[in-house]
Amino acid sequence: MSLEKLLKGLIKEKPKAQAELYTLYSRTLFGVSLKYSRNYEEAEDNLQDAFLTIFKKIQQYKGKGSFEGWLKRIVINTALQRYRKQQVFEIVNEQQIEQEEVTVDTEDISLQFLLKIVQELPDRYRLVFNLYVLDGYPHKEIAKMLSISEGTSKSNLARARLILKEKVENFQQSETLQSSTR
Amino acid sequence: MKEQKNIDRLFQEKFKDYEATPSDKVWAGIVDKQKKRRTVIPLWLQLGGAAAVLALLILAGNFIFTPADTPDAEIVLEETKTLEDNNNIEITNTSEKNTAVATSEEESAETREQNNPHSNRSSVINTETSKTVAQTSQNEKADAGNNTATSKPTQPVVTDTTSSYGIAQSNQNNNANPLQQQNTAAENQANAIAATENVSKDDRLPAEETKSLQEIADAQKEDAIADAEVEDPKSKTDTRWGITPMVAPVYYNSFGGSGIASEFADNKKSGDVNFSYGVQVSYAVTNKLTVRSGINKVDLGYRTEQINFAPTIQARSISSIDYNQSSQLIQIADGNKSLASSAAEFANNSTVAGTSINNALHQELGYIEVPFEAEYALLDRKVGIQVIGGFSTLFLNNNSISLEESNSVSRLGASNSLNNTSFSTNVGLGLDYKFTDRIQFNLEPMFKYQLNAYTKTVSDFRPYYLGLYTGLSIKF
Repeated sequence: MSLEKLLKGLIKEKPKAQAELYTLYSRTLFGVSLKYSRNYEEAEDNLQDAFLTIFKKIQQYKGKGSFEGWLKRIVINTALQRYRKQQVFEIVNEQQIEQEEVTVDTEDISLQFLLKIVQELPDRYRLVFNLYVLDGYPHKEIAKMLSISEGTSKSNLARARLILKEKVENFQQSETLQSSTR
Repeated sequence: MKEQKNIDRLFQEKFKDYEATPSDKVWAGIVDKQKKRRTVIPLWLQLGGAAAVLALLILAGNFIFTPADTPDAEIVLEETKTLEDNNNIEITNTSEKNTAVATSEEESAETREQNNPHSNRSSVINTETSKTVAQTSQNEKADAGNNTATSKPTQPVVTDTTSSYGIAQSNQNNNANPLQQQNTAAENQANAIAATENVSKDDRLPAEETKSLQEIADAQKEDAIADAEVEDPKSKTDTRWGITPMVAPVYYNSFGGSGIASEFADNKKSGDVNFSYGVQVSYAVTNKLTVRSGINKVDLGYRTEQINFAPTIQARSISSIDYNQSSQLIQIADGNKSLASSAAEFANNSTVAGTSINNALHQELGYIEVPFEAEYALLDRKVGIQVIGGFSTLFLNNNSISLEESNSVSRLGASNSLNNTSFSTNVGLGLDYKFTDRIQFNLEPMFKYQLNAYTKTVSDFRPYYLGLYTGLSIKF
């Protein structure tokens, strides 16, 4: 089914077209959702809400840009909405820290481990890290999306990097320890 | 072998093309919610449609089936009271047979452009599916030192190869050569221009790639905000409740029959235009569906015309009227029949004054109305359109019948055939104009058909009233 035909079916709310869209994009969008969520269950809820929004607002996609980009943005926005409701952006009195280069050893690090430590980040750190590092949003925009200052966005990113680095290093040390005791 | 790597780059590489399969319950949940959504909306559309069709049928039926010949039921009751007053009046109906009817200008393009995988933003967003990412230094200080055009950390340099999603990113296939662009976060116009200039130097870059990053960021922001507004299921949360003082001219009439006596069923009737006023409270269940209730005072009235009357020595009264003390001997009867039966009385009564057919019986009703209605938004923009349906409970609080002569009005009494509590079915159309998110002007033409206003003791009276409700609604 061509994109054009798929879109026509989606606009008419044809169940077949909706199922087709889900088949085509659910894996990619669930990947996005997992990165922005605290855990697997929340990621599934988020994905479900995002698809419902997509089906409802499909006529707003005018076909001029990347369809997949549009779908991803809805997944991201759905995740942000969830945290906006929970007011996780209301953290105050944060001491801002400078950004600095953070490097880690890349040996023996699985994707699942990286996903786990991203999900374990405090909500706002996770969102800023995802938006900036993995989805390329600039700090100025992130600040507006999360209703924080640009400085806070940069500081949150720096903190997120340090937390991730620490967890990666701890993981690597424990791995080294385990292998040496075997 | 150990390799020191920037942590951003580590994550970018690992999460490139990252996909995961959700469990089956996600799709099951989507299907379930879609079904619920599909069933709710048509139900209201059907109800609204059914109400409109019903109203039309009732109106049409009124024209078609208005009885041409109403039987002259003899309802005159003999009064056993002794006549003490010579000013007894006989009211007779002399009527002929009458039927009883009566973003910026470029916002859209810009927004969509930034969705395009050619744009800097989307290029980076799509790293998971279509690009390899080479990381440059994220060090702000180093960046500031090396690049005088920008004051921000340099974003990943994106090497654009080919799209794995041809349908979504077909334009990318035009880039046979790798595209290298600096995706900087433009803090100001100067930065944006600098970035654009940098990019423009690359001859391989398509023209649209030179779009100002500032524009992209702005457009994306607008889009993000728009999306957020659209997607927030609680976008009406802040303004779910509404309170609306309303006032309406109401026109009362019937589809036939008489509310006083069946002998007047054929008489010409004219509805009064009175006022209804009250307060309405509404609650938005969803963005489309609002339920509402409130309390209104409604005054209604109509005239039964072509009434003739004359004094009589024999008291006859209409059973559906509880007469006042001063009017208890007034006799009201079906005109044609009464004239025939009491012709002798008329002839013998020397005090009979010339009677006039311009007299009327005026029935006035007052209700406290408690409506319960639902409105479904067909259009919800600056100007909104809704279909409205529901019912009202009507508590009788005023009831009087008067005889109107050319120069005077005599109150006869009150109808005893009105139910103290009755109901009406309501359908209408709502129009609103939103001054702000919280204040809007409402205009609602409503049709309300009374179901059991009268007991069955009088003729088949089918009253309705039309109201043009206006009010200023305050949302909170």
